[in-house]
Amino acid sequence: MSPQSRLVAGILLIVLPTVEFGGASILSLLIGDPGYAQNDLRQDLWRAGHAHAGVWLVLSLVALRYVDEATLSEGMKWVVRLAFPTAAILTPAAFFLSVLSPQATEPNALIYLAYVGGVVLAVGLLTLGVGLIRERRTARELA
Amino acid sequence: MQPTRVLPAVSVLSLISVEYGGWALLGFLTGRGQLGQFREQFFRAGHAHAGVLLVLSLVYFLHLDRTGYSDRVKWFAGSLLLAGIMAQSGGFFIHLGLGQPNRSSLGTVVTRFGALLIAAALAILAVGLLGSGRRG
Repeated sequence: MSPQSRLVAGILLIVLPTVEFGGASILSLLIGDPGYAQNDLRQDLWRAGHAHAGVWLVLSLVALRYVDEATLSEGMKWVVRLAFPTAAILTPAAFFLSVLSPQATEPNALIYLAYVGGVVLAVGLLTLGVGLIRERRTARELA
Repeated sequence: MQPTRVLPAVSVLSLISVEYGGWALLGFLTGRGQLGQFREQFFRAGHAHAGVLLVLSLVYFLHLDRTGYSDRVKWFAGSLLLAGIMAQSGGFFIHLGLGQPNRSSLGTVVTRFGALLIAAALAILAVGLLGSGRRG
């Protein structure tokens, strides 16, 4: 693993307990707050926020293992290293912040951040995918 | 063609289609068209399983590289896993189209079948990892 990827991986592992904290908060709301159980939209979006934060951070960690092997310039490697964690923050943040009010019946405008996060993730995925395919071709040409 | 180079690229690019599904699901949840509770449940299950299992496949390929298997076996195991993931999560979407609440359908059969493929692929990896450890 390159030192750059290792640095990002270390930061991600330090950030990951915040997802645990969020999960614990949602669990106590589900158990102890009757108002939370009645607002379906808020439950849906907060559950989605927690799930996406966890899964996308794990995806970020896995992407770091692949990016060092990809045929990409150092600048494009940084695009991959940063796109995944940025998306893992933007989209869950949108899910949480768009229904902060317990009475919310529809999400506020911050929900659009979820789409921004989705686009950022897609950029990271496409860049990494192309980098992995290019690696195969250059390896064959060298052989 | 090395399987542990090509297959991860397939998984990474497939994740974009999972994103597309999530975009549609968010639309349903926030009011643009209603799916109803039954369909929403299975849409969520399909979306979540596809996403998590594709991340699992990326971890799988990293470990597949550490086994002593030939490229042919690696192609077989990796493709088995990807086919299992498509079937397991795709079955939920078939079920929400064809199925009825509290009843099995073609979709749930496909989901169960996919889960068996995933289990077989995981078993092949585990055997390969144990075998390479003994040799090394």
